[in-house]
Amino acid sequence: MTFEELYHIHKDLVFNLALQYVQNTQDAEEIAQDVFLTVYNKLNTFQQKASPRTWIYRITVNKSLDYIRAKKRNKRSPFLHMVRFDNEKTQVTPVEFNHPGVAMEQQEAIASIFDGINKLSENQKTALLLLKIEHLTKEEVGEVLGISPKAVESLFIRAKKNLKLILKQDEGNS
Amino acid sequence: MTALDQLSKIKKVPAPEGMYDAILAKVALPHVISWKRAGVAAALLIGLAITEFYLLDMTKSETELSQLEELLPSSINRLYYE
Repeated sequence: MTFEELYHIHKDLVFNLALQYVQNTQDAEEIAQDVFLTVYNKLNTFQQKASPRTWIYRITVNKSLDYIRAKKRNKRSPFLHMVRFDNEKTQVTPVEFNHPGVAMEQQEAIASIFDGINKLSENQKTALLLLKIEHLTKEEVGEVLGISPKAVESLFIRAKKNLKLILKQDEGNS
Repeated sequence: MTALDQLSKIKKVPAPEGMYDAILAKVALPHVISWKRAGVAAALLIGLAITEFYLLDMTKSETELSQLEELLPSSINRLYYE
């Protein structure tokens, strides 16, 4: 399969998953571009052990998490952020919730749910996003994360429990 | 409606137009960057050489010069003594 074919088949999948991680179109597009750059560079070494879809899902998850980590690092050290110019993806500016997949009347409610999701651990967040928004099966999520379907289920249960607690706590604070 | 029910109502959106072109531009970018880096390195070396040959030896004492020479790359030192 050529790069162009892979791009056209998976562009929406990549963009939407990145969007679930960062909840704004600007950052999601940057992540999606980075994902396809990696696909372009590694296409020759890609072994058909996993399907291209699973492979691209895995790259998107990793790139999204890397992007969020870089963003957190830059928030902690604004000076370093100013002087670093070696990597475009580290040049992050704070942006608001801007998710085009969410209906106008639900924006506020879903933004607060995502606030809670963003406080979960990386693995729990990934399991929740892939199962509940991307509608992948436990087996597929297991393949993407490199864990068993049973481990996915336990991650999801913990994610659900923690999210409930976080949302309750946030509700109490407001 | 629970939080998870609300999440499953999120709609899929199409990827932005023009993303493919932006990716292809990024694919070509590393070459541009490496040319830029080579240009900056060459300009720095030329600047260093000019400073060494035309300015430092007119204003600094012998001791200061020898201290500075230790800091300069050995290739420039060799050029100086030739």
